[in-house]
Amino acid sequence: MYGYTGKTLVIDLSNRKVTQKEMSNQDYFEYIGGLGMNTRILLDEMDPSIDPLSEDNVLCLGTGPLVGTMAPTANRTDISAKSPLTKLLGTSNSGYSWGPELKFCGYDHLVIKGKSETPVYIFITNGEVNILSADHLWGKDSWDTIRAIKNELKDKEISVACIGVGGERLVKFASIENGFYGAWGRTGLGAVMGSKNLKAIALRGHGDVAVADPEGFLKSVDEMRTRIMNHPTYKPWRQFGSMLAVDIYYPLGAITAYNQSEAAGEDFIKTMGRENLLKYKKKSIGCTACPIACANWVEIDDGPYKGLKLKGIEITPTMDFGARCGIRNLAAIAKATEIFQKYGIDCSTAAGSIALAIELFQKGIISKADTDGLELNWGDEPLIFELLRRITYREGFGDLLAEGPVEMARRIGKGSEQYLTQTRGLETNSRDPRGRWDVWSFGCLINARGGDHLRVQSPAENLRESAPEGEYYYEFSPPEKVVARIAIFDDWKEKIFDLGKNTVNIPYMAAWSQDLMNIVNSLGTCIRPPVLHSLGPTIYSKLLTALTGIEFSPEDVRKAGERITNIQRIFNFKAGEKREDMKYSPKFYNVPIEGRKLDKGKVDKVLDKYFEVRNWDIKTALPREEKLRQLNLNEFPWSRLS
Amino acid sequence: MAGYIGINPQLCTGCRTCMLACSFAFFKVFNPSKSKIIIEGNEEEGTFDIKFTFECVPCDVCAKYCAYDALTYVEKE
Repeated sequence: MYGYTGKTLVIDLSNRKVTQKEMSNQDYFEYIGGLGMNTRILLDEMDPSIDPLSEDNVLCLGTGPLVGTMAPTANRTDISAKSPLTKLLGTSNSGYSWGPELKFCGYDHLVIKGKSETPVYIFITNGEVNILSADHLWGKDSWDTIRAIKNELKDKEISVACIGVGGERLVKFASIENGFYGAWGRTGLGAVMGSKNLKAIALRGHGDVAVADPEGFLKSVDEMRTRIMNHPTYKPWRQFGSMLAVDIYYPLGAITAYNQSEAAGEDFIKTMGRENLLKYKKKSIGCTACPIACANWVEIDDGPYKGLKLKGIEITPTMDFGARCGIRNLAAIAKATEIFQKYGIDCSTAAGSIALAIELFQKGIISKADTDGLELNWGDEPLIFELLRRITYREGFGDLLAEGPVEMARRIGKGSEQYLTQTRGLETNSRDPRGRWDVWSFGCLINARGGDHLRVQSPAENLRESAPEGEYYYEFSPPEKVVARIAIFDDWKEKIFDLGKNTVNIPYMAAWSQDLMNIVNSLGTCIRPPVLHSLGPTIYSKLLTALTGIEFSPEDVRKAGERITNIQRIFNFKAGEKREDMKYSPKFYNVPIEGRKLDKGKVDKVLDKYFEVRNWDIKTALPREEKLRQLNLNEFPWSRLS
Repeated sequence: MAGYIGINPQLCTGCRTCMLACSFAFFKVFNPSKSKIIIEGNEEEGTFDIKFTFECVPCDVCAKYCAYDALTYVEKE
């Protein structure tokens, strides 16, 4: 096969049976790979209503067709399973070298079923699969685990995905670490790995990724590369990485502080703004095949964290531990990064639990009697780092925090759910929807994995001005010349943009953006703005056709993205999510930020309009029969929805 | 081509696009183990070594696809 290896490796840890599954061209045509194929495999292989920490859960690790090639940013792997945190579709995406290595080992996807009786790790090399004892690795942090595996297999080029102690202890938001500094962080997939007694998956491959039309593929790669490297966001992303956005979101009023109780103040932007990064940044680090290199290599040369050096200081932990938990020292964000990476826990939900605990303590809802005698104050760096340790080891008060904020609030009671800032189980904190209403914030309601911002991002944002308060259907569009060059089909542009009024229709743009991000997460490329904002289904169809020899039209690619959205919703429906569950946490409706709070009735009307755009039933949020037929989804056992 | 590849490991980000481009140029497949340029990384230190196999006959493919100026093709005078 071209592009794809055509093989999915299935490992049942209960009986150590290893099998290979051949996938058809039609499967790839309809689901592309990565996230799309993962979701399809999960629906085929498991019942979404199962207990996510039981051996019935299936862990699916999927690369995309472009992964392993030199297509810019094609390095990403999506990991999917039912989430123990949200109880919805769990999915998390990470880059670096693990995905390309899986392709060079001869596999597109790896499916892990069952549960090992004892701790094991998997080593795959050139088609050979070894299930090895991990007794000696159990209890080690992720960094020591990676070092030990590379040493005992005598190859420092091995790529390792592993869990830390967080995954072993079934912390509900445990991550799977991707090398030393990357992670599949969101939705608690590390706990799924831990529940299977699987410590690590190590890869080393020397196989080929073949190309159907080498000349045509290189031509499209060059076009893709030119578009990315000429995009206006390219150079700033190289300079600051994701920290670029801190200074863009702040003047919009989109950054909120102290468990999202108030707008972030000048103290935040002065200490945590992007210029502060340059004091510590020594160079850029790139994932495989990436021409952007957005990761910051930082070295701390003064203060309490002197001597620390790592790949880190990103916007996400800066929002999580900075804005949300009150830290006002960027070097401490580097320290937090070291801690959560080693422990193997997701920074966003860890900070979510800690911020909720601090707010409940400050409000007198919990006391020292509940916190093992700890006094919980905003921005207390040693306290926050100690709580990360107690969460990881489920020690004392940390055991409660390890369940995640939603379950914490349920157990504490006393009205504490009013202080939650999670949407459908995940933190909605990168841009607060009260400070800035747009496709991004609406996307938290429809994102398949829960309410974070990473699966529905508009490729045409105007970040200079926000829509007036009370407007829910529209945000302002970028200038007409930007709209003209954006890679959206003309018939969709007509539905999305009103250039006379300078507006973007949120329900239509949300649908386009969600499908586009599904495509990207299935191809195995990156969602950073230089990529997401400059490319679309047309160039992806050219790349896919030249690479695989399977004829993809631009509409075929768009439709695959739409198909993936629909099967994600089917998974979540079967996992138990109802239309009425699609809402923000009460804080966003009840607590104003500088006078602004969400109007639930108006938000629900936008949601209804989005369902109409999707041809989904407004009451159930389920695809209508006609839509299932259009997408060739009507004959699966799992697509019977009544 | 008459020339050589100038290297600056300090500027290397470890993306290994050069290795993918090299294998593709010579074998029409993507396979870093067939590349004549080798990037060896020390992930913990954030450093990268740039090496060439004896089979490397300097062309400009690796340098052409280096987005970071860690590799530059230098014409011989």
